[in-house]
Amino acid sequence: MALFIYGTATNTGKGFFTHQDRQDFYLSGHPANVWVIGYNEKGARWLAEKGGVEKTKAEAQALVDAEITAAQTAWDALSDEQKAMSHRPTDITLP
Amino acid sequence: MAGYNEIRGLRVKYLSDDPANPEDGQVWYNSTTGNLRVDGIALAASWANGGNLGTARYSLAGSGTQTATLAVGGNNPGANAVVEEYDGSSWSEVNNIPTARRNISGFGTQTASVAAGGGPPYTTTSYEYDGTNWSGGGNLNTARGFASANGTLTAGLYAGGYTGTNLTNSESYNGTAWTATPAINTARRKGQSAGTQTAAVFMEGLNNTGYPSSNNVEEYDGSSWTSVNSATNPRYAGMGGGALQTASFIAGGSNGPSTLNKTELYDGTNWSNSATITTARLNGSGAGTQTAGIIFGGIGPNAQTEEFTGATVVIKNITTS
Repeated sequence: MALFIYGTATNTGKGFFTHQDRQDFYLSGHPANVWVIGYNEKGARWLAEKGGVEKTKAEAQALVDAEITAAQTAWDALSDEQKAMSHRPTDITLP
Repeated sequence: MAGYNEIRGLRVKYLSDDPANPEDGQVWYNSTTGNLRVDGIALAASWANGGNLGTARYSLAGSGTQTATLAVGGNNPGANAVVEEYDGSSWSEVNNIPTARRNISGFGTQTASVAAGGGPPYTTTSYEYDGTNWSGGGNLNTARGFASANGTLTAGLYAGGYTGTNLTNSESYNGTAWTATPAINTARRKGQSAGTQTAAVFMEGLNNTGYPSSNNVEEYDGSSWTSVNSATNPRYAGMGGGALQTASFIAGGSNGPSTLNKTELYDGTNWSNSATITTARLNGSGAGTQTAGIIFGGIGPNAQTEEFTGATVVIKNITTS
């Protein structure tokens, strides 16, 4: 049985997810507007209401990987001073 | 089967409004709304999304409360001078600080705030905000960035930091001038502090031994810093706050290999894990209290705001479906 729904949705700000949402289902945000959502009716409804697009886990992971690779490339190109101010983006494995 | 009045010793009252001071477990019928109501339902702590920053950035200063927050300067990458105010729903850009600053630290309220230090280039400069305009404040005794700050405009505390090496320096501010105060025990940068000028807590950070980051915690009583119980999750560049030494929070950050989504609460003695933030990130800023906290920004650069509501007990409708 699936544990999570994977999808993309643009964070529109206040109310994008509420305290009640966080009580009702698992939710984690990732690069590339990827969201991992607990697999239940309320989670599925949340993604639909946010105009989200459901993805397979592999598709979602590929989106995250692409954004992180781009961010790592951008970080590698920073000056040493800027690197000291920041943090090289680390790889993320979706649950 | 025993009835409610036998179990609870009370009858279910028929009321036109909710009672002013219901007891935990008390049940009543609200005839105005037509709902059967109960008090004493535990609601777990959680994070909800807030309005997005207008300018995504990290290494910014934060101060104020969950519904009246100030975000100052930062890095995206490159120091910027942007200042934004949050009203509990959305961020609005207001007057810039006079000089772009990154790794700057702030304390106070949205209408009486101080933003101090920052760099590189590391600076002693501080600025005061009155809710509209920025003016020059006193100069820190030791130029630095990545410090932790807490307190009010007229009673602030600024500790730790970095100028190429981690520092133990601590200074207090009286609204006019900075005074060197006793040093923290462990030199650190990118920690978080909370509380008042004379009852503060310095939480975690990155010490001279490098990764994994520190879970050391120190308390200040106005005279000296004392090591107290360590946090559970070592981290640096977390986001946190708290008006009291005995009620602070820290969320997110990094332990070196991993970016964290963990939140911990400190009650002045012990640490406890709480609800995780939704988007793991580090180097944003935080403000507010342990029961009404806020974090915003972070490396990405990130524009996301999350609002924390501590565990509470509420009145709920009793439904049958």
